[in-house]
Amino acid sequence: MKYTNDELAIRLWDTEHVRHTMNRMCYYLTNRDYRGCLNDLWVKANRRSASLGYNNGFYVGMDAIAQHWVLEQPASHKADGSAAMFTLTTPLIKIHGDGKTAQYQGYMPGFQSTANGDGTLQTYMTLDMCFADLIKEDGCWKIWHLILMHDHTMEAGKPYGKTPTFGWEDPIAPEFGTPTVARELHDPCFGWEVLYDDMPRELDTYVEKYSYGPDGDFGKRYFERDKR
Amino acid sequence: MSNLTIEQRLHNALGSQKVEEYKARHAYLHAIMYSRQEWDVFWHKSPNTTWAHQFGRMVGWDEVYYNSVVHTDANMLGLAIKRMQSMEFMWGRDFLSTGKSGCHALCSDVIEVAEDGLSARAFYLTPGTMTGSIGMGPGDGPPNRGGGWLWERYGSEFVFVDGQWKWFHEHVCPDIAGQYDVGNWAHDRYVDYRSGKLKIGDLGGYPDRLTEPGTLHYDYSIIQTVQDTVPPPLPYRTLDDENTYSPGRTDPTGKITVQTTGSQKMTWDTGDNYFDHALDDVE
Amino acid sequence: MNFPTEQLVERWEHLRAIKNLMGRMSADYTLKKESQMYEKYWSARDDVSLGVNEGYYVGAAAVAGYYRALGQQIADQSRLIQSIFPAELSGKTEAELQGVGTMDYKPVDTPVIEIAGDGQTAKGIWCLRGSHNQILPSGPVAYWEWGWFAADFILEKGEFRLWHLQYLQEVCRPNGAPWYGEEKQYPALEEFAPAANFRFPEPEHPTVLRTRYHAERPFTVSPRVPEPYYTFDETFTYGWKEATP
Repeated sequence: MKYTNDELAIRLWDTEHVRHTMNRMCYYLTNRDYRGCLNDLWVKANRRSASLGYNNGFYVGMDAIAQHWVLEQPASHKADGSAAMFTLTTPLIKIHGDGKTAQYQGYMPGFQSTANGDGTLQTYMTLDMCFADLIKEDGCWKIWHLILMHDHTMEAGKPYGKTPTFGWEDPIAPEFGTPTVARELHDPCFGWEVLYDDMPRELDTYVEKYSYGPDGDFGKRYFERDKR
Repeated sequence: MSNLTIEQRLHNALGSQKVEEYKARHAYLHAIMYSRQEWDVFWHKSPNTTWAHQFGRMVGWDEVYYNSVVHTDANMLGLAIKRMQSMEFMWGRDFLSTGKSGCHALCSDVIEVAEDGLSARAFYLTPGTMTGSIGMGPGDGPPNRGGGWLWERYGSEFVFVDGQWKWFHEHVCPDIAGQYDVGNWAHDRYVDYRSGKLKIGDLGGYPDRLTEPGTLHYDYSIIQTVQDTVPPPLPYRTLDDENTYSPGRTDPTGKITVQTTGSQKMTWDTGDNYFDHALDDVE
Repeated sequence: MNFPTEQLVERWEHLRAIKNLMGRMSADYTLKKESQMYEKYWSARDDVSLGVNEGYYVGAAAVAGYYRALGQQIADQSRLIQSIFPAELSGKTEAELQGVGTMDYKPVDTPVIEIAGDGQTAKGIWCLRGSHNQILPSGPVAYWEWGWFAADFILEKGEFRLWHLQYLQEVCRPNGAPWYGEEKQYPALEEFAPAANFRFPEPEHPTVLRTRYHAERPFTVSPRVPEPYYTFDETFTYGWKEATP
């Protein structure tokens, strides 16, 4: 697509605004301020089709997302002795040709830690990947579909390489809750085997099939995708 | 840059963002060992294309492609087939990427686009991960997790040719590595150095052919002085020997280049790879 | 705020330059160039300030002194390591030795940067997920380091420079050990005994900017993230104020 200088300058900043929106999200997650995150960074006009994905499925609609993130937030998150940090690196940002929507991919290392009450801590360093569709509402980029794809939970001071490959329950997994649309989006056992087809791509406009929402192909095995 | 036209400034700014996109795409595709999907698409095919690591420098598109795609594919598929033979639960899964999810995460970016708009230079720190749930290790053992990390510096260069940005030079400099979360890299390496067991230069893989072999960067030891192998770029006018990570090879056409003795077949001691044996002594 | 195209491009160039400044500073930690940081990155103003967990260094002399002290500490460590390894390191100049045996990765990511509407100042915050080694009486010991850099920048001669910086550690604990209780101790090594004498100047305005994470610490939020603003007096500062606790 050909753009005027004015349009190119806007697209230049669109990329930065998308980056900043996603990075701001990390600070809200670090502060365990899910209400603030939803209020400040998420869609308003598209609230019915908003979604939040984990390894085990999607919460669809802002009511379901708020129920999970805000109303069912574990009390341990903000208890004395609790701390977390979420970071975003390696951003891959594509603004769609029409400038109305965008896709984001980032690598998301962090840590989550809670106190056991006896002076000891349960500290996990975590490795996740983050995908998002963003949409412009009233001139501002807003998170529309978000997937927090979890890979590894590695305890501080313990050899992760000695953790059993099977029959081990990831201690972070209970935080995914019970999504309203159950679907396996990611099995960390098998790594990023469908990542190539799920990375943000060059698109003229938003295409649901390639979206990170519940109607997109994200995480599907190849035979589940309509390739033709 | 204020003497540039608005079109030139936009071209350079968008070029800077293209550098970020290519670096990110590489990080993800390299993590899943999808080599052709990056090298075929956004690398510049020139006799002056170079790719350097601890082990030396690959020179020219043919050598870079052979090592990074042909030889890597053969090695990785060989490893994957070994795993598939012993791990039935992996059948039907993707051979190359299954089980791995490491990523050379990109941080501390410094990106400069040349005033002439024909090249870009970038520096990154990468606190990278080398992790996996089942497919880590030498391949002939049981399925095993891996919680490795490998932290490096990158010096990268890109050229604008035929209306497109292409990756031209890469120089990777590993500094420290370890395992989540056992050992203490500084203390362990000190003890190993004292006992004569510390192996330096083992963090860079094993290319099949090299035009310029030789250790170009040393990982950490107690007697290692500071190495400014890939200094962050400063604002610059054009890609030249004063502003490059690959001196003598800044001409994208390859017509002006450095004479070499040619590509050599390499032999390596691969029996003591750090990431295969890092947990051997851990209870 | 709406800006004409040329101004949008100029503001983007400043944004990139600010990221470059932080990237260069991050690289300089790896290159042990702390002693050059004040000259390279800071404003020449006298109202600069640097906040660390334990308090503030306020004013040009104090901030420059902080970096000078870091440089001195690195030089002292380098001489100690040279004395322990004469066969490998004798004959090297002071410049060649600077930083020997140390590695400091302070990779910065997750930036949120706001340039003021008037273009005269900017604010940014970055996450830090690093590892470095310290030279202790038990020899070199590696630490995980998590935290933030948060900064106010000010335009000087057409370039943004550091005006107020907060470098706050959330976690600084030895690699390969739990994050609670007493730090894992390695046995003292006679050759590294002089490391016990290394001292660092305390902030002249001591205050608890941030308590590092421990098992009893109340839940503590990250430093405040920049919000859009037009002039600096509309927003908050990362700098030291008389009323700073």
